[in-house]
Amino acid sequence: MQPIEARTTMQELSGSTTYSQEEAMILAAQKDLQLFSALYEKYYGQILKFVYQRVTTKEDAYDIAQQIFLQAMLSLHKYEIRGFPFSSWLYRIALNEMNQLFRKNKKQRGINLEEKHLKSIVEELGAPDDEERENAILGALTGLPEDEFQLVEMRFFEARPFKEIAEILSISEANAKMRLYRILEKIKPIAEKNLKTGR
Amino acid sequence: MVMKNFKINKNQQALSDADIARGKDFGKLVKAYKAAKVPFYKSAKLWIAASSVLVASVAALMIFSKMNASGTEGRPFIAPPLASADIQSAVYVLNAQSDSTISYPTGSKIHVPANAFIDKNGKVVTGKVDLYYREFKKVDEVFLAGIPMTYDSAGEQFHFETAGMMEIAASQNGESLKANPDALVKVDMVSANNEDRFNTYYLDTIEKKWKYKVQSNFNPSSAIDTLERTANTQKPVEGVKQLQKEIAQLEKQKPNKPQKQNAGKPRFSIKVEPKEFPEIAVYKGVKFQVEDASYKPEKADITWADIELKRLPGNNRYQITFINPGERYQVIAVPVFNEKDYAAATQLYNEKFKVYEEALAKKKAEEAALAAKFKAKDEEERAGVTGHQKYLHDQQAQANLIYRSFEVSDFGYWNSDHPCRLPAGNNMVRLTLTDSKTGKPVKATVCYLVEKDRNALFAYGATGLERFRFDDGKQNGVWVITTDNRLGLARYSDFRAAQTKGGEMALRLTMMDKTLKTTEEVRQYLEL
Repeated sequence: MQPIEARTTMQELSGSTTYSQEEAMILAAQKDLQLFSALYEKYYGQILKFVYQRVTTKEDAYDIAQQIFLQAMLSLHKYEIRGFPFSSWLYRIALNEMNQLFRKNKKQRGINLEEKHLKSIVEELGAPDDEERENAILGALTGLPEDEFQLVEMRFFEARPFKEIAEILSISEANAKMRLYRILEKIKPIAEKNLKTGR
Repeated sequence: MVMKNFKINKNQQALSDADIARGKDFGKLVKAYKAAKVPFYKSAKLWIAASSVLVASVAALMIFSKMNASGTEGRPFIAPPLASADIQSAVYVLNAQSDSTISYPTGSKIHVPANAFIDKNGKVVTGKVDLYYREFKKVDEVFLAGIPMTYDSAGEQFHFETAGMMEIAASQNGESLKANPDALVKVDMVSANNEDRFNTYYLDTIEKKWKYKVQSNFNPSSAIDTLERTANTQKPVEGVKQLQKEIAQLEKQKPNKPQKQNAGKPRFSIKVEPKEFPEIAVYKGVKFQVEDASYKPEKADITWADIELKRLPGNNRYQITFINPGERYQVIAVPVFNEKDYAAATQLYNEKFKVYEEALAKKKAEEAALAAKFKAKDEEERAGVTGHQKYLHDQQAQANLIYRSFEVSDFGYWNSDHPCRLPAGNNMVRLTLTDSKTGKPVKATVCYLVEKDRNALFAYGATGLERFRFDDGKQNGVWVITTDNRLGLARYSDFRAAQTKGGEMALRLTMMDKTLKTTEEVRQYLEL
């Protein structure tokens, strides 16, 4: 007989379904929210960076990230494992939380740009690359509705694959691609106009 | 909506690991969660609809719940009403390649054969495995676990009456494991119900229904004394045993009282090994005086090649064997002293004996204290048994505890159940509820009638209160969740005192204002 070491922590892995490690973590956290700490630990950095990309200060990013995880904890019992990454659920919560805060002007929307971001859009549009054109494109982008800008932001500023964008936005991958190219078609003439008018 | 009030930051410095670590604070998150969390009585409305009925009993534990018929689609199939008050699993770490038997606090036994676990690829698992186990026998445990208890048989819905339910699961490195069909885990679950009408069911969480497995799963001759078993498994006697061993060792070192030599008896000197015979080596001038009547004096004239000395049981006697090739001669002798050495030996003996007595007394006191501590702990456990044990203790007065056995072909929920239809009380009234403090009417989302006699629980929705049935021959109490998400209760005495007039019963409720967070808090509150 082997000596048995008893532990006090609780974890549920019910039924005969085979779960991934992440799914097991989610099931465990649904049974005991203290075990949510493992998910928090795993995704905090990722979510914080996602938020920081969209706000103007680190302090705002910290506040919003905490709010996102709080919302996740409060809603965890409703989460159902459907084969999608847990992170995409967190991103959706993040977008909802931020949209509300921006709408109510409780936090300022930030757009964190690197030179390469605009260059990649210029390249995608098939236009010659110069600073004036980049500024014209930026002007066009900032005139977009928030949901359209988010798609551009995720694809060109954060270099996310279409599959991930689709999961975050709860749309199909084909739909994500179609939407993005329609947005690019939309901003192209606006950018050209901006270029001519010097905006 | 076009973006407005935005700020463009060009080439903003990326977050460092230190920046990320600075914002991370799980403790703060938990505090915020506790502050924001929906109280227990708010969440209850999610899982009970107006017409649902739950009945639970333990002596004949009956649980009735219309989870699926109550518009709860979209919720997890297994839905504890309050996550923080769910029944905790015990987690045992065991070696997958060895046989193990685990004693659960209720007295239930989990027999795990070697190689009982396979991974998702069907490969037998080796190394350490986490085994999870919990039981649900009491009405509040079933309530808190949020497990559906309806059973569909040929299109007709039945409600389970259970003689005990358990959940067992296993994992290794976070990956859930499956049961090896060639080496099944067996659970002997202690049950307070010794009737044989309960069959074995397994909860298929994929198909979301209970599945019939086998007929009655108990041996009527397996009556047990759970408290005795539990106490035995918990007695940490090893410390006491070790002290008793040390005491026995110490007693062997008791100094021998010096004895004067008898001039008329033969004696001889032997050089002894101090480590083997410290009780002799400590003295000077020790001689061995022969006590055998059959002693042959001529043997003293032989030169012997070797001597063996052996301590004999009893008082200060030794067996001495003189050895030469082809010849052995044994005598019985005692250590003695001449007049001069006797005085010195006596003084030394008195000193040594005092030290010995003190050491022995100290060791015995340690042993007595430790034994008393274990005894007190054992008595405390017996007298102050809580939770399962208290329940079983109570049940034991009424029924023989037995083992119900499960061959665990799949990990998950197993139940020893009997499908039955809803019972009804013999009184029907329109129930009105008022706050005992304010006298104001209380609007119920759900109202539970609790029968103490059979530990039964019936839940009525708001419309159900118009036709509230109860058995006035029972000890009745009530729990209420109000439309403004408060929790109220009427104890048995309140229920008895309630006035019934013209088919209407007016019940005064004690309203709870605090949020219940832990399992123990909820269970304490549920005790009427």
